[in-house]
Amino acid sequence: MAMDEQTLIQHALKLFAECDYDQQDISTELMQDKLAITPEQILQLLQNLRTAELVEQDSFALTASGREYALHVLQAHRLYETYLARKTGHSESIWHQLADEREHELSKDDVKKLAEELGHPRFDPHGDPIPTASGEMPAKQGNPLVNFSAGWEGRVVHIEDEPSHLYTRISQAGITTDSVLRIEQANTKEIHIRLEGQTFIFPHAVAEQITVVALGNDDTFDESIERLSTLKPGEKAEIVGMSSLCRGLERSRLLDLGVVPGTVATVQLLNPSGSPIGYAIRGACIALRKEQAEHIRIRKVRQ
Amino acid sequence: MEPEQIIKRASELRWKLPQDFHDRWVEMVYADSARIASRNMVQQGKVHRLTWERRLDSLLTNRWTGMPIMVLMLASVLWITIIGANVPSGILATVLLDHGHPMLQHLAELAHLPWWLSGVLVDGLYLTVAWVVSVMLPPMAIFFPLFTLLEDFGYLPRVAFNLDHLFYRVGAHGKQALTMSMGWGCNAAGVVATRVIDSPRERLIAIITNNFALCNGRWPTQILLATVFLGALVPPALAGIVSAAAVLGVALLGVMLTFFSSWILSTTVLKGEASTFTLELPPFRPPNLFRTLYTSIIDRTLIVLWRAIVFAAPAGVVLWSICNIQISGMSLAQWLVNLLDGPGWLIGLNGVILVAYIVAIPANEIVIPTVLMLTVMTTGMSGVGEQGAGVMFETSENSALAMLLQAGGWTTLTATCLMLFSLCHNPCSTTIYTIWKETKSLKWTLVSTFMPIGFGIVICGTVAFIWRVVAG
Amino acid sequence: MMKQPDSGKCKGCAASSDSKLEKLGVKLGQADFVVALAGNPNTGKSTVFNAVTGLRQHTGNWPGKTIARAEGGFSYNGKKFKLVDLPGTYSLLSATEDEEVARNFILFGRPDVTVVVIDPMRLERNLNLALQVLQITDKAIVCVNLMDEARAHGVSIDGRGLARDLGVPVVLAAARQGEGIDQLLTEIDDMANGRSSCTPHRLKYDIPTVQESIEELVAALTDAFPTMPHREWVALRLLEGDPRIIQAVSTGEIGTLGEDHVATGTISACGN
Repeated sequence: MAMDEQTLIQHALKLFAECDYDQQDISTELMQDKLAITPEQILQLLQNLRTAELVEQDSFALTASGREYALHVLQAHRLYETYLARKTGHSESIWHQLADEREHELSKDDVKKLAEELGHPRFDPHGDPIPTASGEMPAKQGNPLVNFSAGWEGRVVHIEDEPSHLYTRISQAGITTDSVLRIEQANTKEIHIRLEGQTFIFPHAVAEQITVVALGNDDTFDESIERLSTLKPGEKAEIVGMSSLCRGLERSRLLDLGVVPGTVATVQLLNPSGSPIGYAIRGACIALRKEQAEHIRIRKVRQ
Repeated sequence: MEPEQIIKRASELRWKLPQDFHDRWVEMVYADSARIASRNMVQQGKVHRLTWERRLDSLLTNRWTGMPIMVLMLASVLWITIIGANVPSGILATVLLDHGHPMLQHLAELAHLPWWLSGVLVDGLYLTVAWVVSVMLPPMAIFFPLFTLLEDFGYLPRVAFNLDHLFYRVGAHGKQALTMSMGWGCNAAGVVATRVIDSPRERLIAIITNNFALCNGRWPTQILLATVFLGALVPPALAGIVSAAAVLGVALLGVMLTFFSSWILSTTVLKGEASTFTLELPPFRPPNLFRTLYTSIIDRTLIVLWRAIVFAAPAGVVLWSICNIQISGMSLAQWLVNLLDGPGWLIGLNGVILVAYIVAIPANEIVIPTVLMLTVMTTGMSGVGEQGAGVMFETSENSALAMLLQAGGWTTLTATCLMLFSLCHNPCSTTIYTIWKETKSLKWTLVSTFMPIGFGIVICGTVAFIWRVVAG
Repeated sequence: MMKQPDSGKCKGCAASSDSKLEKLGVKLGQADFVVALAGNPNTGKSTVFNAVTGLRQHTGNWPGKTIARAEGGFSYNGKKFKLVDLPGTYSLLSATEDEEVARNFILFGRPDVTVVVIDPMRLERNLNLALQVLQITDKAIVCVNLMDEARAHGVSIDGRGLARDLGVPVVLAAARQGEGIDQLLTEIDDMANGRSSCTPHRLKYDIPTVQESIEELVAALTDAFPTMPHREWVALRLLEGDPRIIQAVSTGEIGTLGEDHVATGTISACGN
């Protein structure tokens, strides 16, 4: 990927800030890997960063102005991803790339406007905190899913969006930043996780991308939670919530139609082609596509 | 505290909100609603939905009966429209064209109007408007009430439900099935009908692709060409079937192009537009016949007709003028025809057809009369259309029509390409204006205008090229 | 109880309310009062509109038929009313274009009466909207339409109970048959002339961890805009970062919304 110098500096600063946040050490290998540039270019880059007094002369630490600049880019990137998720129809596999392109064009004012328009969101769709204008961010939490063994139960707080092929696998399984899951089985190669009535098998490379925290006191892994898409005619379900994969306009619309916790849903009208299916929700027949029904969490009710 | 401080404080406090705050808020309102509802509503018995409603629903959405019922319904609406419009259209044509036009010419003579003024007003403006009204009004006055009855009854959402999976695959909304069907009546009305699609991306797709639904003004063109040229290629016994199949084929090609262009749009220019799917299947409600008739005529028929008249009137003036303004001994129309003959040939058409399409942009209904008038003028034929330059006419004799057009250099290729071009060309100006009103966007109006004509040029060009290669 | 508005002051009030409505594109003309019509899609809202005004607006059996705002007029008891049909919405919270039109009209346009049309067959979902409307206006009437259909389905509605729970007048109607329209007109007339009082049901925002924040903002808002109604609702919208509300707070517009009603003495008896 060819990058002009300015863009490269911004990418580097963002990387430095992310590593700082993750309390990860910066090395030239890491830079080489994440920025996809040659060792010679790295030397040049570091020199440029130091000349501009963005990075300390004797270490990889950001200077005050470097940090400010980096947080601006980070804020622009994460806000723009949030914007893409909520206000546009772009598929999530290209959010990161689009935000990478756009972050450089956004001025402080643009970022402020964007934040206002979005109602000052605090987390981007991957669960990363968005720095405020004054640079505040909540502390990082959680550990990678691979660190845990069978029987462990926890909640997903962050999903790394790069590389995108791994990310796509996770999002296609319907795993998102508020999923509660249990590790069924873990070996040296794979990890079997259970959530919402289904089991998914991920290689370590995928599980590496998922950050989880232990469940709080009033939080439990509930084996009886399933997805609305599995509801059969004649069965009755109580809605327990919506996955955070259902977002933006779609989420508000479904909420307004009565897809809220406590609502009882039944299958009212089957479709010969399987989708959409008409569900009786709060007295009305609402047709939902299969993908939408997969984002709605339910608990089946015995009649 | 100053207002600015309050806002600042609010954005600080925002960090303390739970992430699902909005959800919790809606949930809470619903909890209150449910409590109030349960206190004040009594449901007698256990029957939540009436039995007939359940049965009808499963009949209309069933694997075996859903589709046939839908095809039957749409086909009968179209059939009733086409057949039923014949008589009133004929009456209107007799009154407005056969009697009204000569009478006005006579009146203009009595008033000693200069020839050019009576030409512009009577032969240009009046004739075009009268033509549009007599051809357009009856089918619309039949089609829209029928369609509105189906809509008011609640049948159309079921059609959207049945067909959604097809539209989903190309990134569109099931309700597009309806705006497309509405387009078979009139594209402008179809564009207005896209209001029922509440997702921005899918609504734009439905608007931009609506022109591929063969409208009311184009069905007669298709039928005429298929009968005169394609039907004549086979023995008389088969002529009816062949021409009907050809028309149906063009309409189906339109459906295919709708899907194809929807897919292109949703994966390219429109992929960033927000998209959501909601489809509520409302209860069946017996429509109020009188009111439906009244409102659909007021809301749809007359509004569309009025727009068409507003656009057709100046077109009539232009049409008459280009036929009567002489430059170096040749009419402007003739110049244009000569100029466009080359590009026309490339796509299997000719200069006359292209000029007719340019002039007849207000209404597809006047394309054929304009073509006939221009053909007579350019070939210098006598015996038909003797009313003079710039005066549209039509003939009911198919053989005379064929002879006339063949004299104008028409072949089966011309007719085939014209049928295709009639499907794929820019929307009429009424529709373009409606698209502008609905989208308020120059960009999407331009895309809707030029995308179909781009398709038309490619398709007709390819057909003409292959045809000529194969035919040697 | 309810003071009859002083005619001199009321003129001033109408004028200030005029200018707000005109900003929203409503030509008041000769009308004495403006009535807004809100409701879920497919509740027969347009039928109510037609029954009241005599206009023939298209009423399709489709969710979301009327997008463009329709206006009509009617006279009752010698007063001229203007009826504005707002876009049919499920909610006022989602910031879609339609919902913003409806929300801004009710909140910033200060219509003299807002009629919320609801469908008895889908009462919960319809009350969801009605309750949201009641958070931003004190002058509302709930019209339960489609009672004919409800009866056919064996559903009966306790109008009095509903009125008690919602704190606003409730009219049971079947607009297609013209049933209940007279009563609706009477209620509109009474409310517009300040003859009826109401104490709309207010939602309790008892979401843990939010209560404190709301209280803090409400206190600040009370301090800055003493006459402002619906402070809790405004505080919530500020917390959610609603751009239009933030703008209205920063320009002070939000503070003026209560004033013209306070001047006539209606707001003090009606609500809060």
